[in-house]
Amino acid sequence: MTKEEVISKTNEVFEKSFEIAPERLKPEAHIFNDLGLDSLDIVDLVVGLQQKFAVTIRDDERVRNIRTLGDVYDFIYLLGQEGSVGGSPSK
Amino acid sequence: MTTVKKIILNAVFYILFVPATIMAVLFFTPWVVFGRLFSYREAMRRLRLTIRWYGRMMIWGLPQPFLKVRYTGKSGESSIPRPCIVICNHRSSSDPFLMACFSFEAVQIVNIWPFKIPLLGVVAKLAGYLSVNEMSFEEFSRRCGQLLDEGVSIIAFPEGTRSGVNAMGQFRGAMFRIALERKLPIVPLCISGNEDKPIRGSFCMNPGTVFLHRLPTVMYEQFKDMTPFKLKNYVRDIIENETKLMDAR
Repeated sequence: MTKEEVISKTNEVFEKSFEIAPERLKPEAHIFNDLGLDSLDIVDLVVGLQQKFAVTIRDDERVRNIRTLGDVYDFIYLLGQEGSVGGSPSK
Repeated sequence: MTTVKKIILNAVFYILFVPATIMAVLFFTPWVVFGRLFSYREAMRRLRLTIRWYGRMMIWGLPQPFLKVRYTGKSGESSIPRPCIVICNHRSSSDPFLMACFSFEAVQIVNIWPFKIPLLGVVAKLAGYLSVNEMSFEEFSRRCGQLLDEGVSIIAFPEGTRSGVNAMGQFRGAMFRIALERKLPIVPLCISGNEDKPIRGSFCMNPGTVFLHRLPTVMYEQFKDMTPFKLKNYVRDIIENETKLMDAR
């Protein structure tokens, strides 16, 4: 999966799950301060990403280091490089 | 002139604060304890009523005439379905006292620090005030459910901490999830003019007027199809828009 595909699908999760306008979805956007998610929303985000990319990331310690949307892109892309992304992701 | 008012306001308030608190404890404790003879619920109702009276004394009594509080929207308060969830913006440590403006039984969701205030923190904990930071969401939801089942409304400051300025912080969604789960109405309350009463990090209050404005209740039917994320931002937007208007006046 290319980085562009990761960005596009991740943005779809944010748009669908949180109804955040696409123009606000910039790599430098802070997930808490700029996009307004809280710790409970992160659970919904993880579920959305797991369904979208057919991965299990809930127990991944690296999730704790995510601060910006760019960090999410990098994290998912890294999972893809590691071969963790697979299965039948939802469209 | 303002400096003189400020000195008098703070001198009078803090000189009277301790004796007024001691008198309130001496006067109301027997009444609350006596309520326990009827039932635990009656004792809690009396304790929360005592807190409300105490808050009114601290806000509408001691700081007069240099600190005024104007509450608009009070007239329709009896029409609010209860229990309800009150959502407020949060600029100052005086905000919890301002909640004495309501005439119905309620507890507040507070940060950890108010529980550390001598005496007041203990009383708040006894009255069922909750700190969302001290428990899991599941436990928090369970405790809120118990209170709501008893008909006790819940007042929350979803920014989580005092902004200290006019700009509002992002909202946390715990109370909005509970409102959705339990189909409860949300009462938005806007607070303006209190950002320097006192300034964050200080006990020194400035003279002036604090404005409270209760907005129309947001009923469950209006938000039943929203996600918790959308709901919290919806309520945040209406409070932010109103407080901007209040600040501009």
